[in-house]
Amino acid sequence: MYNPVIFICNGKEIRTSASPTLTLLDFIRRELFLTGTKEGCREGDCGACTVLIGAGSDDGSVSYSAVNSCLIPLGTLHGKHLLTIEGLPKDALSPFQQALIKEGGIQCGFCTPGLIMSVTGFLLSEKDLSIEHAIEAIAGNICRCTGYKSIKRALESFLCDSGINPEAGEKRMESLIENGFIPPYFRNIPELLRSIPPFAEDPEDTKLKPYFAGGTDIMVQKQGEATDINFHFLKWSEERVRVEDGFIVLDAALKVSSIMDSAVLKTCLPQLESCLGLFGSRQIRNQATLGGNLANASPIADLANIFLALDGRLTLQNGDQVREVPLRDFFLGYKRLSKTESERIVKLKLPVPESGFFFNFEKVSRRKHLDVASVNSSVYMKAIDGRVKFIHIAAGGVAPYPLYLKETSSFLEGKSLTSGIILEAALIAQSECSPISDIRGSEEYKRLLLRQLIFAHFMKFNPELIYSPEILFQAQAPSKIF
Amino acid sequence: MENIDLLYHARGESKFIDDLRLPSDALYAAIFYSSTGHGRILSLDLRDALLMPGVKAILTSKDIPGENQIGGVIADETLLAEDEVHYAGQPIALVVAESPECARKAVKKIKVLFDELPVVLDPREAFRKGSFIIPPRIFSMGNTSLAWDNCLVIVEGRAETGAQEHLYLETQGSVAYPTDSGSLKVTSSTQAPTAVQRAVSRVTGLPMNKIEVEASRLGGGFGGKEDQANSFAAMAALSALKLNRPVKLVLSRQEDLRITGKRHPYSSDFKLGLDSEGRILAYEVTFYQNAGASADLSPAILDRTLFHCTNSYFVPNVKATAYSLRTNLPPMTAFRGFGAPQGMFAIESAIFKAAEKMGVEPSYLQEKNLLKEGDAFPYGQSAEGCRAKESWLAALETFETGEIKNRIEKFNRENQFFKKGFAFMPICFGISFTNASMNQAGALVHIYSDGSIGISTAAVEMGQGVNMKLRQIASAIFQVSLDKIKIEPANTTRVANTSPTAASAAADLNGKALEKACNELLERLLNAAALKLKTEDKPVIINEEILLKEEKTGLKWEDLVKMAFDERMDLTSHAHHITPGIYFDKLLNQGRPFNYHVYGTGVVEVTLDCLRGTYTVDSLKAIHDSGKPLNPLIDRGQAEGAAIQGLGWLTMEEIAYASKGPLLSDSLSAYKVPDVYFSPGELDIRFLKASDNPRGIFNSKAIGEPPFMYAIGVFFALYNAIKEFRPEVRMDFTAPLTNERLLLALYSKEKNTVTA
Repeated sequence: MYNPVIFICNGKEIRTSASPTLTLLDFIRRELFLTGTKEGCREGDCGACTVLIGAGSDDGSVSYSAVNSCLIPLGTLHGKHLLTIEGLPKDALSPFQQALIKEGGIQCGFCTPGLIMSVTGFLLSEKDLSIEHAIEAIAGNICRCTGYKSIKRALESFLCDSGINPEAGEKRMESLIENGFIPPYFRNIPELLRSIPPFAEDPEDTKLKPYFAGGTDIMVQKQGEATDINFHFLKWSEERVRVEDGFIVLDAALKVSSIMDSAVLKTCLPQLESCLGLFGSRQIRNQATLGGNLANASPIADLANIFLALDGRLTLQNGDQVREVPLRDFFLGYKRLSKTESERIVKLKLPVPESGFFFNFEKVSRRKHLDVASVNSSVYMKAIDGRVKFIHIAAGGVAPYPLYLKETSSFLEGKSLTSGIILEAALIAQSECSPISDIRGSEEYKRLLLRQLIFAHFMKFNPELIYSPEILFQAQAPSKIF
Repeated sequence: MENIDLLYHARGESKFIDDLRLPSDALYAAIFYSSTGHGRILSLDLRDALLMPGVKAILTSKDIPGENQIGGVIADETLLAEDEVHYAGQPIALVVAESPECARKAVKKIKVLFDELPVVLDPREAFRKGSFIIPPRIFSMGNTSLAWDNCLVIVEGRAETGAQEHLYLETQGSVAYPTDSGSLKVTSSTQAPTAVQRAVSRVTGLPMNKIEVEASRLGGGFGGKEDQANSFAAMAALSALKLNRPVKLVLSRQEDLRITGKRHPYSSDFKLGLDSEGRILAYEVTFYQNAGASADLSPAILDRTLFHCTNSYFVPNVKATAYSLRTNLPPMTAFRGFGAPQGMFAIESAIFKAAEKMGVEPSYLQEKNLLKEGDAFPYGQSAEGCRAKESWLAALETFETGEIKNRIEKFNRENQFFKKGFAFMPICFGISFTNASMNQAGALVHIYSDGSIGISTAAVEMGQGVNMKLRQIASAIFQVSLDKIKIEPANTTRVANTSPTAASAAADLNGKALEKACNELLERLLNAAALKLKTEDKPVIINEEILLKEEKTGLKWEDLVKMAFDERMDLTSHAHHITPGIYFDKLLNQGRPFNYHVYGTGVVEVTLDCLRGTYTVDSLKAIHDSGKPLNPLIDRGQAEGAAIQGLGWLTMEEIAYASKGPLLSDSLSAYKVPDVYFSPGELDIRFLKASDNPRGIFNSKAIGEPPFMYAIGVFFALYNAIKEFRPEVRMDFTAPLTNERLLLALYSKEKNTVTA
């Protein structure tokens, strides 16, 4: 028996003694018999299992996020509001459901509930109800039947005349109820959530348990086994990104979506938001954490790549002991970290960028969105009158761990940028890396792609530097050099 | 017009196999499958697995009471491996346990030792070894050897297309229940209830009348559940029979990816000859079909490749040879297009190459050689109601392709690192099962005494909207509203000996049978009405009212039905339909295999990022000949969905196997299909105006498969964009054209021979 997990499912309180590590999807389908939520892949790559999770805050409001229920353990639901397709208004279809039918946006119907939940999440939480944001909200929902055009038509048709209050918050919620997108019981949710007592942690349980942050990787790696592992659940950080002593400070337990929304980062690093749009899907970003992406040490981790270039420093904590380690020294080898088992990443600090800096992130994957990079690369630099004051370049997918291109960066430091220098830098970058052939591409391809992405950085910095395709051909084909 | 299925889908209330509530004594099965591509089983150790709590039984081939055989076309496929495995993913044993997790945990405890045998994955290697599934198939017309002398231009080359995963969102699955008197009820996510019934009968040894198979709805099929649902249903049935308890078997995504077959990879050699005007005089092509470890539907798919090897063109001299080759991959199977896309890709590659050599645009040659009314196909049939040129011209006009060309040229002049390309793709696709005997269907119609109507056919609803189309047919005939009509799940006890929902033909075949059954009932009802109204004239029904000489009689549909019932009239009708006038001689390879052809012309436009080797598909437009569409909304959805699935096949969808056979792209993080962002900004498929089709139901045409092939244009559009960046590049015709292949082609060192 486990300590009870209590939450609100649709309009009803659920109290369960099931294992807190049970996958939410299985609980919804098998224990609650709510089979509208579908299993499509069990790895967060199809969105058929999308549900909304609402978290109450002190001011009484509830904020909703779309997540993949296949990647969520039941235990993280305590004190939350879970919304499944069955919790939408029963008497009449919502305007989006109607639009989907009218425009032919439903064929086999298997992806439909997940899609509708993603759009409902968008309506509840998105500040800007534009078609672009609506599409972004459903990019994690795979439909194999329609080709998406009819879904886009449905989005366009209901968004143009939805009667939804554009102002996010309580007024929005009211207008969603009035227009039949969500049922009236939503008004009672804040109160119901407040009545749930905090989760009763077992005080005797002092065993070393693995930390569980967003779970978007471990739930995939340990499919079916996760229910047997006793996790220590970390709470998503509500702490805002802040500036302290010349550093931008990010809590490790921040969701990727919270990083994207951060006002501080929008000011200091405005490029970041669109870069992170290439990280997973909306559902994944609503779940995956900064710390998780770094601790995972995947060679193609996008956040690791970005923050390597941005000269990030980690704060690791073990009880009372706290130490700082530069991200560049953190990755030691394939899935090997400069971190003991009992240490936990708690913070990431980035030097506040100097004015006039240049930052760029490049990622090429088989599919542009919701895919793993073949190669990714970030550059962070400052040049004065064409001369490099400082530069940091990182590359992913080309080494056993997220790679800081040390040689390349130090070669470029102090140089006046010319196309010749950039060609040379690209060659150094290629010599610094050691890609392997795998499902994300051949070694030859990854080497070539890294070179291209380095060109891409400098083309964005100053298009004059790569003024003609001939420059690209001057660089020798990679397989001939190495 | 309300499509009732969609209402339930939108509320999440539709029940798929995994959603069915099971009795409390139900058990769950999981499959133990081979991890190697080819090997002799030296030992199979089940002891640890059997000791796992909750495990009820582990079944192997020895537990099969009937035949250990599920090969439908050729008896070459076991349900559970005996002494040898022939592909990675081949089922060896079934664990039946109290929960799916428990069964899967036990599967991991099974130990097997293989004596590894040589693995063949490449069809040409299989060809050299003589591993044929069936003897070679040759279609020919005219005399190619004589024709070459008259050709001014001759090009030769190779075309390769890869496998494609169906990725129906609902994985394969089945639940089998023991029922009264030693019978079984099997619900299956299948496109072919009768095929499942046969397979279960063969494996269990029960006669077909003791096996009831039902398919209520599928979360996508695309051909992947035409033949390959059989084995999983048979496994559930075998388990249920052995344990005398209901058993559910639903595959996880990874199991489904690893175990099931895909679209056949093909490697093809082509040779095309043209005269000085660009008229195609001769075409020779040899197809090496990678069939995987057993026949499945490969022979029929091979034939459809041959039937479509000249696409929408008239070629007077053709010699097309096709080999179906046995390799150590999962048995490849039906997938939207059924071999035709592979055949069309080869001739489009040949035309592209010829255009390159002649210094003309491929579209010049495409247009010049389009089929005309009465032109002969290489299999004896001639083009009737041919709309090849009509759709081509309509595409030119509607989409202002001249403007597209100008716009692209301007863009390419102004941009160094981004290049646009576009390509035309005409299609011609034959409708009918090419195995003539499969072109039959039955329909059972009940009118209940309250006036509501229940319809059973063999059509399986899998998103293609066939239920709605059937309701429309019945509604039009009876003149009653759609909400009075319910389509029952396809069930072998209601309509027996049926063909699969496949070949784009379900609405045609089942619709025609339904039309017949409805007309019979209507005739009875109207006769009854005439009796009641004491008239010699024939009453009619309009909008549920009985009219006589255009005057209302006061009699309504419900009154008429009630009256007919009281008169002890049979309110049930069954009808059977066969497609008339089709035949095919498989020795001469001549005949009239198709009821009709579907035509159309697509135009695809892309923008290539020549720095990163990435691209966007800007638009896919097409003029499609759908006759008089029965339901334009459904047909548009079919066309759009097919086209995007086709774009995936030619670009990002890449299946990779390890050298020993296991699937590498065995998750959705490795196998990518189009997402909303990939879907072209402009996806504009319009129906050819003023078309009809007397051979189709209510003058409509089949829609499921043909639009898939518009997507072939994306390959050539991308190739054109590459050439805008580097005119000297000559790339192999190898699909999928992934980002990797694109970048390597853009920056190849050797200027003229790129093996991308």
